[in-house]
This record gives sequence, structure tokens and C-alpha cells, in this order.
Amino acid sequence: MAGPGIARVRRNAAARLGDIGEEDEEIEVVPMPREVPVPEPMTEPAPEEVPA
Amino acid sequence: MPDEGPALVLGSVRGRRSFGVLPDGRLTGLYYTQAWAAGENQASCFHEGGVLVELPGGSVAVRGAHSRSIGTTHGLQGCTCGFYAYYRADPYARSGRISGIIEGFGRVVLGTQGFRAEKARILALVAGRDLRRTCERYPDVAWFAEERAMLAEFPPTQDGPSL
Repeated sequence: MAGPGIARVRRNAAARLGDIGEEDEEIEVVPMPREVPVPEPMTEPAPEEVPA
Repeated sequence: MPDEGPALVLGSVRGRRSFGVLPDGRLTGLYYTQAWAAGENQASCFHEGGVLVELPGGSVAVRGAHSRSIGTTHGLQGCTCGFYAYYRADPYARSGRISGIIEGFGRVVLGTQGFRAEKARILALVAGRDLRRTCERYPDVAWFAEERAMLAEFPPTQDGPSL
């Protein structure tokens, strides 16, 4: 039995628990891929010039 | 005609919110006391069958609610479930609560003052007191000594995401 200070939660009554103001339509938000650092291209050292 | 579902938006939305903290360091919601995980969190709907309990000190919590997953059979529209956060002032900020920034994604309802989201992750927190256990629980979160610094580095989305 519900005692003092305990009230039944009704579907709409819960709205007062968090008020984000006037609500828009529901959307599906897909996170942007997190930036991954691109490794520096491997470069081979230039071959030493060999005098003819 | 088949239901096409909600419009897809690439991006995310950030907002401020407050947390409670358990003795073991895990963060909770202020009314629903399920613990937040490090990384991605999936909201459930607890808006049926629960009782609102007034706790000593004037705070409230919901006990005994039945959990429903949010997805194809139950969306955010027409209900009040989801992770809540606010673009500007956090109306639930109080002394003794933990302030932070979350990123919301998945199914999201945007409001004029904030949003509620099916999925969320904690990005940043303000450690106004000794929260060593909480720091260990959320290793990927950025910690700040002052709220102002947190807001400068992780600004909440102003007036919703740019679509």
C-alpha cells in the first residue's frame, strides 16, 4: 500500500520529471565517425648517387 | 504505406545534465537510479508501473517500474523516456550532484531547452569533490575542476544540432 509521499506514476505525469521545453518530432541521430589519425606515408630514403 | 521511421541525421547533440553518485562511484540518474556505464548507454522506458518515492531531504526516485526497451515497438515520441540533457542552464543542478556533458544519439527528441535520447555517453564531468572511485569507473571521460572550463571545451549544442 502506498504510504505518505508515495504516488502512482502515471504516463503523462512523468513529463514533469524532465522538461526539455516544446518538443519537435523524433529523429534518428547517427554519430559522425570519430576522427582517426592517418599515418604518415612511408617513404624510402633516396638511393645514394653512385658516381659512374 | 510502410512506416519509414524517424528522419536520419548525421551528427550528435550535446547537453548538460546532473548525476547522482553511488557509494561504489557509479553515476546514476536523479530519478531513475540505474547506473551509467562507461561508453555507450542505452535508455529504457520505466514509465509504467512505478511508484514515485519521496526521499529524505526532498529528492524523489522511481521504484518498481517495469522496464521496456526503446526501439521499434516503443519510440520516444508520445512518451517521456530517454536520457535528458539541456542546452543552456541545467535545471536540476544542485550542490552535491555531479554536473556533466553528455552526447545523445540514436532516437532523439529535440526540445526548445534540451533533448532526450535513446543512447548517450558521458563526455565530461566536474569533480567538485573527491570522486576517485568515479574517476576510475569512467576512464574515458574528461574531468574538470570547474564547470566553466568544462563548458568551454565541451560546449552544449546550442538550439539543437545543425541539420
